[in-house]
Amino acid sequence: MVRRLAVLVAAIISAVASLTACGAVTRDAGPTVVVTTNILGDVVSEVVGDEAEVVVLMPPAADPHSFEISARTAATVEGADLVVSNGLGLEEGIQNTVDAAADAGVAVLPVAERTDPLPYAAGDSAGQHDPHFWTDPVRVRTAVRLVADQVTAHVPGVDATVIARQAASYERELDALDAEMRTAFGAIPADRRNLVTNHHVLGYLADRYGFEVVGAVIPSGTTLASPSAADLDDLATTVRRTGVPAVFADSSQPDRLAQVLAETARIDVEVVPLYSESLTADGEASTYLGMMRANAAAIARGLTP
Amino acid sequence: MRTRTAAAALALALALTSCATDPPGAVTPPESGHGEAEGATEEAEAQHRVVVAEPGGDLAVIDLLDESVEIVTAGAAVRGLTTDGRFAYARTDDGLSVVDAGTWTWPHGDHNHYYRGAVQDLGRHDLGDGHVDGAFGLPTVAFDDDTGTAVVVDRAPLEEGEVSVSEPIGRGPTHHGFALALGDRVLVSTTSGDELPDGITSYDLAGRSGTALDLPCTDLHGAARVGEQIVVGCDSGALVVDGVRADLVPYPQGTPAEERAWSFAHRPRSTELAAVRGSAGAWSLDVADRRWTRVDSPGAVAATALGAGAGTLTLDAGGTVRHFDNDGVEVAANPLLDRVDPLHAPTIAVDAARAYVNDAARGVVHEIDWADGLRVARALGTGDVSPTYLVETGW
Repeated sequence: MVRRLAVLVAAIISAVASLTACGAVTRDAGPTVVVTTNILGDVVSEVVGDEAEVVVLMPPAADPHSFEISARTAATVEGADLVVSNGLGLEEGIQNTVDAAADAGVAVLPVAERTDPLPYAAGDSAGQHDPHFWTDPVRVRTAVRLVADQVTAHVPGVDATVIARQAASYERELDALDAEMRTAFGAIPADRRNLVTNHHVLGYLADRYGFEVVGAVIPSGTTLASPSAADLDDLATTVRRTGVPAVFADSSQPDRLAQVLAETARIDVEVVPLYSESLTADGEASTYLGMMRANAAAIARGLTP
Repeated sequence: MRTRTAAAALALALALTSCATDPPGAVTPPESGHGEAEGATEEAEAQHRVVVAEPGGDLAVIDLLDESVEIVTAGAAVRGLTTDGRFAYARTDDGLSVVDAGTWTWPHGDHNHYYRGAVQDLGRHDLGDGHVDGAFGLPTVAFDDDTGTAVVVDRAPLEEGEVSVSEPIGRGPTHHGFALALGDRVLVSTTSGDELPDGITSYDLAGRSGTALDLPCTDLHGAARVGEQIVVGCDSGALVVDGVRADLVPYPQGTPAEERAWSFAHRPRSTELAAVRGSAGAWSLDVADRRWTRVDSPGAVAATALGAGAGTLTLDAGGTVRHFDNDGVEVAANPLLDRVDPLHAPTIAVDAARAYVNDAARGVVHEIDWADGLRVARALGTGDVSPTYLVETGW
């Protein structure tokens, strides 16, 4: 994942903003929903609105696999009325905390496990379930229903009618996102529906919208200093075989990579980065809907003739 | 480091929003430490750095993306250099010098996460004098030949820049041994009197419940980490140790004693190893297949396995680097070095795309494109640190 905006100040401001009043640090405060990842945090906030405090543990532009929390925040988790987690092994750094909360009787909703998970296609994890369900907005719509149900059932004092209304409203936005993505991808011809990528998060998007994920090894920045044909072989062969005009790859030097492919392998291809596992503090990917629209536009732009 | 920065940010945020239920003055400071001074960023690809050291005590950390060099002064004469992929450990005449080289890999199922942060000198520490081993997600373990015991350095504080040392584990006596963490066990070599170990005891991380492993050979030397296993050379072959059992992969019949494997080198996380084979060349050991292959490369002073079936690289006393395929057939050679110091044989460090060889005589590190006929891709400057020892980090 390429981190686009990652400044300490932004993380602090955002964390402060999400922890207004004292709800986050005291158990006897108002009803609280704790959410692990910032992508789910945005979704849950849309559903919950002002009906309860939503505490998002993962700061913007962080890595869901590796972010960790303080002991004090862990206490907040155990004092929550509901914990919404991604699950399927995504949040390794805080799984113990989530498990401890469950053991302490806190209701926990592991969303990815309940939205029809797909197996990983390949690699060492083949056969395991892929946790990156959010690249499919239809599954996120399912998640919204689950969140609304669990909030209504477990968070005291919330108005079920308000929750249902907010959930329905956000579901309509997800329907609109789904329709936009269908339209955007619709103009991509069948023979170009290949996502040549080193992203490991696109499995659900590909499954929903009819793409093939073609894994590719992206030459490292180190080799781009003095490249050989062997360095470019895997990517060049994959691009030639699939005939794609763009690859969706994280590279520390995307322009340099495109230039080297053109000069050394005589391949004219665009190198397009995508957002993947985290919202950013601000900008187009600061909300789930914004992140998905940005990615959909980038994919459509890259592959449409 | 990003995760620490994030945690610190959240801790600070909590402190800022703490309220009347907290007693006055109870505002929690951010959980900052030495390692957090600079935030690390996650990157799209492995961020390799090369660390070189000279006997005089200076280390240079070379960034392989932009070729920038940072100098770290160990402050004592350096006698050896190892790494666990992130931290470089320089053995000195006065303790172990620990440097956070600032780049590392988090292996995560079907993919990896790559991090890049600042170089940090973590200072010299009294961790004994001997074998040092570490790995992502495992404590660093340092063996002390003088006492025949090991100490454990917890990984989490180490990542924060703090070297916290356990009580000694093991029972001695003095010997030239080794110790490594494997899962939730610490394996420590033992001896019944000889200078080289003839036993391995497995302890829990607190140094308790020691269990001696049943070993089929003696004169242990050279421990390498291969996935969830440790491979150790011994007088009759290689021991593959999984924490409970030790299986012997015997040398092929007719192997003379002087051709035993003394130490192994490989591309990190590959399941193939290489070792110098006396004066005759090298061994290639496929750990998964439990198979030795002879590589004829007379006068080899260094050897390493490329992994993934790509073969073996050797460097001979005349300074020529050679690439052998998996069957031991030479496929490329490059007369790289003008001369080789027999007392300080160069190192060949390899990653998925390149190999790095230290050239102390010319004061450079050669970057070799091993998949392209051993073409020299770059000659990397070392900031006037004579590159006597070399390790590659970022894995």
